[in-house]
Amino acid sequence: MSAEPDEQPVLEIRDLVTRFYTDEGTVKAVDGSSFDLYEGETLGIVGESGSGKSVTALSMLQLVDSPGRIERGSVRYRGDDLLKKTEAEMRSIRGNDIAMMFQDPMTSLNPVFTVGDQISRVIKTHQDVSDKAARERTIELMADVGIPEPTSRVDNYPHQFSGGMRQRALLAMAISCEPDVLIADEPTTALDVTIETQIFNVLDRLQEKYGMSIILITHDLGVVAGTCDRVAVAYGGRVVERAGVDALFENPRHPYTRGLMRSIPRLTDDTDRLTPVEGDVPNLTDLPSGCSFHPRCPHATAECESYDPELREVEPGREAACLHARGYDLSPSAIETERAEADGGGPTAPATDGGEPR
Amino acid sequence: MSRFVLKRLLLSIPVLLGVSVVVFALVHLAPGGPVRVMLGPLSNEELVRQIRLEMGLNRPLYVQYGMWVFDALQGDFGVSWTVQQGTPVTDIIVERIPLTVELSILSMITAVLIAIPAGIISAVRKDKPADHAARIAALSGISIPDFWLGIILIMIFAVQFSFPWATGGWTPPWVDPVANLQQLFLPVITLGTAYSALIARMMRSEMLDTLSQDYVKTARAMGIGAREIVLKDASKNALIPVVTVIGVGLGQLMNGAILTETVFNLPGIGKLLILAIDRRDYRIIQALILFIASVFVFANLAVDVLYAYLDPRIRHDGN
Repeated sequence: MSAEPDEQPVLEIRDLVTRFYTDEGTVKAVDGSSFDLYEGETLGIVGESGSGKSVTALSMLQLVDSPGRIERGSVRYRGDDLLKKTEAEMRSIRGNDIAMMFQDPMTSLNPVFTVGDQISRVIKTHQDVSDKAARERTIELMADVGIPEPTSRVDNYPHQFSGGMRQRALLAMAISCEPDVLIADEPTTALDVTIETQIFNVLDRLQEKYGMSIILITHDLGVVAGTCDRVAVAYGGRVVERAGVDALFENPRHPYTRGLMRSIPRLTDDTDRLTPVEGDVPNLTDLPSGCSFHPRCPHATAECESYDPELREVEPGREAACLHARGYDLSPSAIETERAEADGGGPTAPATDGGEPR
Repeated sequence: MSRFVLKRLLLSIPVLLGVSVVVFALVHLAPGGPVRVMLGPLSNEELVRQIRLEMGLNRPLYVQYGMWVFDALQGDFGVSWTVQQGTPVTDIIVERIPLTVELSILSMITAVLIAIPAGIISAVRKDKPADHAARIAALSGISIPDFWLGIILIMIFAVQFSFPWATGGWTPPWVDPVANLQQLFLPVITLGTAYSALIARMMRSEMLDTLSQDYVKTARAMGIGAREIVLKDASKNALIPVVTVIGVGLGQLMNGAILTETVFNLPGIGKLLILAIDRRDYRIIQALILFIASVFVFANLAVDVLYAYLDPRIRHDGN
């Protein structure tokens, strides 16, 4: 599962840049993000708060509001650039081809309409069906996501639902038109762990049933390990590492990913304290020069301060945006080669898997 | 729901009783009295005492209050002393209610019809020219005193342009509906402006709040159109607090009606109240204030019922 499939991706995001023009300055929320989503897979986008994960997702659906603006890049959905679509065209894609669900189930449903009305409205927006058919489909969907007694619950208001049930209802709404892609933005962050497991089980079953591709945005590496096929690690508004989930956990190649891994508690460890990633999340109005991670990076060299590394292949099916990612070879000659390649702009030489100094 | 309404109706009894006590006390504590108004400034003290005795005004206040309440509960508010001597108070008031009710309702409808769309447009076009225009208009509307606005309108339309319909007076709508609406045109503007401005400002801020809610984000992510989101998702939520302002503002409207009726010389209950206070016609004052207080109480009840209709959370928690 971890190797990158050969087929054409469902979604291809390239060099996406979204900025917010605030009074305090320009916030580079998404700063050159690139990743792919393949048919039927679950891609995890991991990162700390403020790494631009959610804005990336909103940008893909052109849901970024003023003062935010998508500056450049492309979001190809089955070959079509979504960023070139008009608002009317986007409306027929949102919820129909690509659906999105948000973090907080308590506030994501409209309190003054019944849950059933909110789900069937989405169906009626995208499909030419009668009220009765939409209602029947809604009840089916509610049963599908595991809401008990859907025939009576369909007429309930959101406040009569628990948090977990509301998230299920939102999931039902998101899959109501059988979208190709489901973007789930921290879908379980507001829920407790048992409910979280239930939601992911439902998500898993639905993915199989409808053949959806899922983008799962989370800050929780545990969630990623349990649910994703591939992972994109976000930092400072861009993707700094892409890999299959097993490969990533076995051998993280970007120093930031390594830092994240070290900060996960392990039952088998004797250590009293976790090792945090030193330093703070970068201020997106004023990103550090060069590699935006260098002030926090234990391997940073003088080059990292001025040279901004691109995401590139470090081994087949794996990419990392770090000057030293090829096994952290920090010898002057290795850096020299790296720079020569960067200056020359030629194709990347086949990656060599070097040893990792710890 | 009917239990809730019944409960609220029962609760309004002590409120109205309290109002009656306060009004009765205030009216009787005010200096002067109906007898002096009737007899004029050069009255004979002996005569004053004698008439007071005949009218029962020499009895202890609590006795007078008791008698008044006893009669009032049977719908008998007595006869007028000084405004229209000998005519039953109820008749005088009932005759004047249609004007004030029409003026208030027209002002309210006009205000809401202007304010709600203005507030919505203002919020959707935040910081754009339309928003600035609406906000300046609203701020002016709140800041301008209604009696002043009324006088200015009279100066422009009646004095400057001599429109015949701008000179005041009132023809009942069942006599001549066109003349009736023409005559009420300026008073409605006068009375409705501040009220409308208040609602528009509230609607704008509530819309800004609801438009930034997660459920709006969800609706957009599901492909629901912007128009539907504004008019349905956001508006229905925004209206909940605005309805309160509309209801409570009814009190402001009653206040305004007193001034507006005076400025435009309209024979409504506002003008009657001023006249009754001037002439110390206790019975009319008491009955009128009680009437206005009842309007208040029922407006609040109506707001609560409407609230439950708009907000399912209240509907279900109530039972």
